Amino acid sequence: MINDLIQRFMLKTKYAIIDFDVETSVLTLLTYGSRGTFKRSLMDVSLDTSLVSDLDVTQACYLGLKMAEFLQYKNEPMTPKQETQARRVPQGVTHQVSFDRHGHVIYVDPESDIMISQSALLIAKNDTLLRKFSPDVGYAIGLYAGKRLYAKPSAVALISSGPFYVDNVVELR
Amino acid sequence: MVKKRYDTFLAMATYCILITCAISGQNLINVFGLTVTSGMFVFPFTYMFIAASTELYGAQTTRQTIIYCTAANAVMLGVIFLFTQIPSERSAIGSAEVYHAFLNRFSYVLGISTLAFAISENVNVWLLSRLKVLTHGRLFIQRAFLSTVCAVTLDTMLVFPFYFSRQGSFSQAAMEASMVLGMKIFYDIALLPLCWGMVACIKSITAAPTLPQSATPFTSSYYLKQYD
Repeated sequence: MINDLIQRFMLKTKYAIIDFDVETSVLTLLTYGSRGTFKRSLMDVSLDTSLVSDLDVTQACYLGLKMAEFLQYKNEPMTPKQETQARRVPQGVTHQVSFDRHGHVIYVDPESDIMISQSALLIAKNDTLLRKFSPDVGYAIGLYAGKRLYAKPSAVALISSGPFYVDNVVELR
Repeated sequence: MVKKRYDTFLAMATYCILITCAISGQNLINVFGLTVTSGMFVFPFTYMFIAASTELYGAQTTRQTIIYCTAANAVMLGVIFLFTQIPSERSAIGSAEVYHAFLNRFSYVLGISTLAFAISENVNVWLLSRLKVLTHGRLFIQRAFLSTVCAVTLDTMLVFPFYFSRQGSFSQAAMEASMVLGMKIFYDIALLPLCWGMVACIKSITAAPTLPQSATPFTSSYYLKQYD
């Protein structure tokens, strides 16, 4: 009960995804403060950066995965601007994270200060690892993991056999 | 991940208590027939904040807090010494002699309490962190109690010259010190639930948010299980 009260007043995570309609690609979101729900399309939620940053990181990653699936098998037209926005990668020193073309996330571990390179898919599967990142980065990780997940088999082989040239990086696959 | 940290708050609270203790140390009050300084009731709060800081942020961060508090007090002592060297005719609280006497007494109490704080709190932190490793992070109340009792005992021994200067004889000073020690330990025990509550509250605030049950299927790890 105390935890619930703290979450209500501190407003750490403002929204939670509680339903997803596969047919129409519509998400149902729960608002923490008022306990009300509202519906938004997957594209609307993904393009709204402030809404993504108010989700839990695991759910932001789920959103990224779903968006990657949507972009791979899309049957709805998207403008180039929308597509660029949907494929956005958070940049800047605050995130301390980058993505390479082999589907790896390169980041500085806040606890050990070691630069680590890890598969986006591996991070997306592990909640503890994922909680090291902000929801914006979680969305991008989901997007990269989804790209790997829904890629054609030939593309997967190309990704996994790719060379790795980053110095001073601990590689964990 | 941006994680809220409350180590600055705990450090500031510790320093505020330390200063308040030095100021209230001038005031003598009668408790059950025993004359003690009112600072005695304020100083144990530092043990509470230091124990909470050690539990939440580790020994290294807490030692830094202790070093900074000691350094700040040393600077303050230096500045007070410079003030006393400036000739003045009168002060806001009366004649210049009264003001200088207050400053001398204040710097004496501040110096002795800072020294006691630096040594006893370092012992407190060391013991609490060692016990945390031994107990695998469990039994916080028991660990805090044991480390605080050791630190309070050491603190009272270090402040013994202060009692001796007031009482005049060794036996009376020893009697006062033992009575004060007993009261301090009793007071610390009374503060332990407050300390535990503060630690639990900060842990709860900084913990990862819990998702509602209905949201669990819409997390990445749950979703990716179907691809394993």
